[in-house]
Amino acid sequence: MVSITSVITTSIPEFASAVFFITIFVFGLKWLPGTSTMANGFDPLQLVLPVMVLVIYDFGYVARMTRASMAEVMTTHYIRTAVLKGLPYRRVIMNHALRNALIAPFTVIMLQINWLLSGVIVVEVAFAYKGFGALLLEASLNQDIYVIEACAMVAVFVAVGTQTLADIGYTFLNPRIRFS
Amino acid sequence: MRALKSFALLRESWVGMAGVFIVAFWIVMAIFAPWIAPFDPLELMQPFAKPGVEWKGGGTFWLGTDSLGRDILSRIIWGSRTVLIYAPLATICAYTVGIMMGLVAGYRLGWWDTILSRISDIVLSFPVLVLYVIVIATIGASGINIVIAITFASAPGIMRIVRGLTLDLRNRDYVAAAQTRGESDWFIMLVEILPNARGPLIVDACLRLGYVVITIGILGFLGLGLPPPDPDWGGMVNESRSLAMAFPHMAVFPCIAISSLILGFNLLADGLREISLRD
Repeated sequence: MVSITSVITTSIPEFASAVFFITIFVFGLKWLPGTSTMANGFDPLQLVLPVMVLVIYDFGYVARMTRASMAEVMTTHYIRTAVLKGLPYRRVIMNHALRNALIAPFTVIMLQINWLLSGVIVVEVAFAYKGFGALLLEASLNQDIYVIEACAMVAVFVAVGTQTLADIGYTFLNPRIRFS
Repeated sequence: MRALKSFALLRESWVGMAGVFIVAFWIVMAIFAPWIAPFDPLELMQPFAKPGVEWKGGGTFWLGTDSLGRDILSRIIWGSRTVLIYAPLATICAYTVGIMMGLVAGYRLGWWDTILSRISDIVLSFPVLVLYVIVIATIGASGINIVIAITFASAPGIMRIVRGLTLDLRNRDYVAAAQTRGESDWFIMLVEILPNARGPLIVDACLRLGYVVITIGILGFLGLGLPPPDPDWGGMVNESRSLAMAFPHMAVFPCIAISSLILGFNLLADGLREISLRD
């Protein structure tokens, strides 16, 4: 069930899910505003759809990674010991299994930030939000080299920064790893 | 013969079969587009028609028309051609470059490896879409330039995979035997190492094909795709975006088309992975 959902959600590009959500929630149900221009100051309602689009694209992938590594951890001996010791099932899962199972997904989540920067461009254009992605796209459509350079630098800085954070966080989750 | 055998294996996984059916469906659509499509995709007929409206000139707009009066169903069918030509072409180019770089880096090692790995590190430190936008902005938007941009951005990732596989395979006995026979480096890389690394590469190629379809769609959506008159799924969404509040059918159907094709490639990759894990 989880794997089917995650295949389907990762198969829908951000702009397509943006269109689907606009059709359902704005055109069909008339619940939410279809753009997030923030013309009249900050409005949390305008953030709902853009955030939903980004979440739906990423969550399937992360769920799949967590599922795979959780299944692997659950077969190890220390989990069996913990269960046999008579610990409550909840505690086995939360304290013993999850911590070890999160190591692989953690790296993936940090790598996803890189991908998310791309997703942000699409979502900002789709919902007419004035932000980093829209600026970069506008600059590139107008051949504005200096703005493109500046945006690229910010993007690379964020990407490399999260990679470094991922490596540091990795050593906390898995103390066996040492960087020389 | 071998292809038949792997197809028989694929039939055992229903996920893979579902993928094969979806992809085959779109390939049939693309090949027989002139006969299947009810209208000319470029003909301007009746603007803003809702799905199911009949045209005075005969025929029905099953999926409606866009703001210029072009039939959406016909444009989707013709658009499958665009996607199914450029996506595999870009993937093949990216793979050719990536495999060459990876084989050389993994087999020769030394400064070849250092230089190629650093280049790929630099390219990979960019968020992908930012890279595409920069490349397309520099060299202009056209079909060939999309292929170049995708090759440029995804070859380093492929190179890393191939390099890892080559590092593992270069110490095998059959490589040592070929070296003793006095075969050239390129013969060993292409004939001895590459065929033995094909398993993971085929699965990755299928997944990547899905990503490339997404990329072409996104570039079209951002207005960086193919020049306007040609039917292109991402471009169709882009053109109708401002009208999506009033006429959602213009954007929804191309989105369904592109999502289903990507789903097909992803399911196919899942099925192939299942098979490769089994033996």
